Amino acid sequence: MVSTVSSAVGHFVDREAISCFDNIEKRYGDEDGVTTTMIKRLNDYRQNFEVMALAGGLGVLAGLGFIVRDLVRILPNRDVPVPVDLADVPHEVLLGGTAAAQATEAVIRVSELGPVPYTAVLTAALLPTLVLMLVAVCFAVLGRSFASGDFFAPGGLRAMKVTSITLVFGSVVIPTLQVMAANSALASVGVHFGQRMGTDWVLFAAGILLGTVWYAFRRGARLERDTEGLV
Amino acid sequence: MPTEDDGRVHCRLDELLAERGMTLARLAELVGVTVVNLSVLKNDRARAIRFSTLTAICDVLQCEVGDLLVVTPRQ
Repeated sequence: MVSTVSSAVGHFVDREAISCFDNIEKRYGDEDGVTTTMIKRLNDYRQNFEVMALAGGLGVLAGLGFIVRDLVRILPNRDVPVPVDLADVPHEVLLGGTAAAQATEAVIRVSELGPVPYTAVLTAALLPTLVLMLVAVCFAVLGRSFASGDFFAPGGLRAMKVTSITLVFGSVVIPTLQVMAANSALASVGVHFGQRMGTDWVLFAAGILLGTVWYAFRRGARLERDTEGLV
Repeated sequence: MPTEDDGRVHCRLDELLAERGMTLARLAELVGVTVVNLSVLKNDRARAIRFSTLTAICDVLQCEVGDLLVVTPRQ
């Protein structure tokens, strides 16, 4: 009997993932090793989700730190560091005075930027951090709802959808803003060479992937709703 | 698609069990459905029922679907 219950529980866990940790523990908890191991495994999953939520929260805090750092660097509008892409005009440099290397990126420092270049530089610096913070928030929300056993919580679905759309838009907007900022900074120091426009394909792929996961979760939520109250 | 008419289906499981002197637990055992699910059905909290569940209940209680489920008139 005990082994039947244990195998039924094991089967339930594998097929349905984990939907209600506490109920399983109360309903099927027994003294034999198999079920105890299974309950331990469930609790481990829950701990993983809690760690996921915690990591998301820490990501948000780290993002806030980066934003403050960038604001401190940029807001005074003096010696503002602006990354510049040198891929089209690579520069030879000597590392340590002996090793020859090719620089494809550089940071120039500019001061007294006009309102438009200043806005472009500020936005280009802050936007990647904001996007990463949004991803961290999404992780935190999902981790929290997974840990509570509610895999299809509306909050989690919304977070996934918003993050996915932001990642796809960010994959185009962030590189564009960075090129605008670099061009503005170069123009302000009287240097002119074109910056290459591009798309951040990693962000784009991440956005599309998250969008696909969101779609699957949305279908799951619908199925869950449909089977609610089914006997 | 859920509508406001969902709550108009009344399950007469209580009465059928009383007529037969059978408990919900015994019915659950015979039908192969959990007591929790039968309780949901008995208290009109079910929103859908599988044909297999319906058939099994009717077989055990020796009744028709219409004896088990009735639609209450609109108020």
